[in-house]
Amino acid sequence: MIAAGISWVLGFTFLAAPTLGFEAFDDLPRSPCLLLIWMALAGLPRARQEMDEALKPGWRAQTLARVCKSLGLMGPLLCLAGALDYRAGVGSGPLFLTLGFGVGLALLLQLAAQRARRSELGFLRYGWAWFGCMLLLPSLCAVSGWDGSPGGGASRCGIVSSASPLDWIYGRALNLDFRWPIYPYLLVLSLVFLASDARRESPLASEAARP
Amino acid sequence: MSRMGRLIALAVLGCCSAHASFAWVQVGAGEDLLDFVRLRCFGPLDSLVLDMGDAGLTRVELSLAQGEEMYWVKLPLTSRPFDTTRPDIQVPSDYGTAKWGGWVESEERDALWQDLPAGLKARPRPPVRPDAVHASPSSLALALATALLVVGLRSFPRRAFLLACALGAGGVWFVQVQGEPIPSQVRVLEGLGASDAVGTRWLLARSADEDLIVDTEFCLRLEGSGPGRLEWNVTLGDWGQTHRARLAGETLTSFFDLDPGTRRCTPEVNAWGSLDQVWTRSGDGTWVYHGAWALGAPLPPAARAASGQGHPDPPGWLTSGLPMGTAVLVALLGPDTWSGPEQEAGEVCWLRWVAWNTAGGH
Repeated sequence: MIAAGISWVLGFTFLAAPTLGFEAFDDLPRSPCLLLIWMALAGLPRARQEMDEALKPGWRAQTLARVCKSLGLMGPLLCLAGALDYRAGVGSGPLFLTLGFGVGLALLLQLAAQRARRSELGFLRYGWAWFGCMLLLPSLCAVSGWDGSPGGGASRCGIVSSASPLDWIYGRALNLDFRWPIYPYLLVLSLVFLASDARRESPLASEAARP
Repeated sequence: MSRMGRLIALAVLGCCSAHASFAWVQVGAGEDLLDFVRLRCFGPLDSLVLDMGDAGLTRVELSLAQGEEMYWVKLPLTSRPFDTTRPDIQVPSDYGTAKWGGWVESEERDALWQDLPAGLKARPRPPVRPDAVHASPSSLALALATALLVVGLRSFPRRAFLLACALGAGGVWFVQVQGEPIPSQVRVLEGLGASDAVGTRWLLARSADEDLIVDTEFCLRLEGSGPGRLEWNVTLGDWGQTHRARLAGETLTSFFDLDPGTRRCTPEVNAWGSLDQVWTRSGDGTWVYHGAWALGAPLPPAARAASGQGHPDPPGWLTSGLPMGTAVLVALLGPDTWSGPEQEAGEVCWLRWVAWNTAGGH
């Protein structure tokens, strides 16, 4: 909930700034920018949790509760951002689809980050994969493929960089359109899988591992 | 005059000349911004730029293969300050070439424009710059209250989620009740003269704050609401040409001749099309709201105001600057009503007809 809380504070500031007279954010689309903030923070690798705490019964209910709280915080802000974008002339179809799939990506990233806290191996695997696939590869692709022209982007590494959910939502913020986030979903589902350490997550295995 | 006096006079004269030349470069409000040049292009060439510095530029997309040639193609460009001015023609390196063919004279277009009545050309243009959409303080306060409630109910996450859903819908409603935004594209059908009289003149004015698609073949004039850099984006395809103009930070208005054919409006019958909102002004200057006016019906009587509410007023820019002592009809056209050339999505269409009814004037 901390990630969602920080996202809420940043998102609220972003929405309130034009009302308070800061016109720098006037032309930016609200909902993709809010989703960008949330996605970036939701997937941040968190400090590892103690095993006993993590494996206490009812972790599914805990996960559901976390999802409810995150959605409860960010949902109304995203509704407000979506309504403002719609009023500013963004098409309803691209807007709803971007919001729906963007929220799904943010929640999956949050789930992956939560799962990674429960084991040393999952934490390491998730941390490196998140850093590499979400931040490093898109940045490297963009730099290596840049032809020096303003707005010039990567052409050869397009698929690699477009797999990052951050790159996907950034593209929607720029173009105000919708593209199916197939690669971002594949990447995030892989992150959820990598974050899971089946040996350590099973209560039986953990019992057996204890002396 | 002393030596110092002559120097001061020369300096003042120099400053004035510099200021005047700058004013030439950036054409101001009310000036014609449209001019044409001719180019001969040799392939392979897929793009070129005609740069006029601070005055503007034209970007052209075309698809000329190796050995192909485009013979003296006519391209729009911002108006020339002097006949000897030449744009900087930029083509991608190692590609084809473009040969300068000079400016295209526009006597015919100018003559058509000059032929129109001054009262028709000088009417106020719409404010099409859309309001920046901001979250209202009430919607922000609701979002803040929702967040505090969700944090307070963190021990009951499902209840918090349901509450957030309800209050989120409230935030959307707050945005919806902020009122209609100002449209970004408006067209006005400007009429002058009674339906039953010979010599009724028509002019179509299309305004946009963003890209304005201009049919340059028939455009009589292009005006901006203020000085700025005019950018043209031209696509020359096998299927036809597209010309989009944009004036940085200002509103562009293009004018066309309009022929409504047999369409007309008289107090007896509406032979134009369905009009969603109609206002008339009598010779004494009183505006009357009539509500909607259906095709084929006589002009409805003055609409009765709903209890506690007044009649809607016509937009101020449509009613200001009109000659007194004549009858005026102002109407918002229905979505399927004829309004000249093909409409853009979201373009709002108005009819402003001065002296439409000779009986209602003096």
